[in-house]
Amino acid sequence: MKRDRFKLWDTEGEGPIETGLLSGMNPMEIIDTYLANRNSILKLLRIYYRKSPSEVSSFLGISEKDLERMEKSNELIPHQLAPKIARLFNVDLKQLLIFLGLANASLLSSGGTSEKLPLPIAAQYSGPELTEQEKIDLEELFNMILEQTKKRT
Amino acid sequence: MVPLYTYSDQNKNRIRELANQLRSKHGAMRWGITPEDLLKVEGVKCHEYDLSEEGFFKKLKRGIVNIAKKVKAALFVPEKLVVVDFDLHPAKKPFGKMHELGHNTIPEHRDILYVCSEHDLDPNVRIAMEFEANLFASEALYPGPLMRSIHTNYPLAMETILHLSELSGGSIHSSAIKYVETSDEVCALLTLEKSEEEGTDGLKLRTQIPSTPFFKKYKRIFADGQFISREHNLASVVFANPADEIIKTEITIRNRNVHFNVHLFYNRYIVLALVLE
Repeated sequence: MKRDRFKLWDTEGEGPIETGLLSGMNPMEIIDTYLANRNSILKLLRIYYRKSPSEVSSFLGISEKDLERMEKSNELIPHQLAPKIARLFNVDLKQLLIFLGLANASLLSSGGTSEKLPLPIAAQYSGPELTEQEKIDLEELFNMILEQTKKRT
Repeated sequence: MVPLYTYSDQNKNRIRELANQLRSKHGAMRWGITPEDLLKVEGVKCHEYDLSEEGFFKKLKRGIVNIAKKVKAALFVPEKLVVVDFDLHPAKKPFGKMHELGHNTIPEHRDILYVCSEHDLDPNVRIAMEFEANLFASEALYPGPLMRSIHTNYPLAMETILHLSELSGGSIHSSAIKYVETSDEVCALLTLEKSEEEGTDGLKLRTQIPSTPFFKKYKRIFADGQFISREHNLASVVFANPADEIIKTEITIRNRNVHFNVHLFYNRYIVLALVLE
């Protein structure tokens, strides 16, 4: 483990992560402040869990070239891959979605909607993106519908 | 290989295959299977909620009432529960239910929506997932193998679209879209709405969907948003005939010197025009 940690110090991630944590930053702030791009987290996980690029790419069902391109890119990785990445590295999917920018960073902050929005839902609605208040209202509505539905069944 | 782009043919085919696999594994590759049947065999409960029920609105704050009006259907992944707005137009309910079943069936949707709300996702991810769930719903309602038999056994006509709507349980509009999208014939679907411009009645073009052979041959025949005044043959027959009847007419696109047969159907909301050679 110690050897791994030294190995990681030599890469782009471990040092900044430790420094960030010691100075009280949350993981999103560390990534935003220190990492060259958002998808560096993929490379960090791969190195930390001692997986070769071929092992990772084969598990994800993509080519090594695509993996390398994704690790170096700052573009969103395809959401289709996120659950597989979480399984491969045994990390929390919700955290991973946030780190990769696939879910809103506000989920991590106390002022965000995450604490008020614990209900995972997929709702079809008409209109533009919802405001934070609308999301909270929607959550409240669905909690009531869920309660009512449970009473009936 | 995992498709890397949501809108790639590879990914679209993967989603269609998931929809067909779902029907096949339950022995449901035939017409007459409803979304409720598929939800049931997948162990997903389905309820319609009625906000007009006595007592419901009394408890709701104004903000919730406003958002409630916008919501059509929802899936609660951990509870395996689909809820649909009671007031949603009956023609739209089957697609809405299949859409939610899509979120529950596409593996990464189920995983992601198990841990977070769709509204906490990056807008581009949400749009991509909505696209995939719509694609799933379209294929689950109109499976490829069954559509092929429709094209083989029935004539290219508005009557076939109405029959397809009855067979599938889908709306006439969504049946017409799927019919043209999957057709190997030269045909196109125009969706128009009754409108008024500068004091003149007419039809306004909302969408035009060409079949692949039509697009190869003609590209698009109307300009997006084009207004067709009542004097034009296409509009005059719609205004002169009652709703819910098939009207057959002809049009000539003079600047391109082409002539088409058109089958029209006005369902009191929109006008569908099936354009064929």
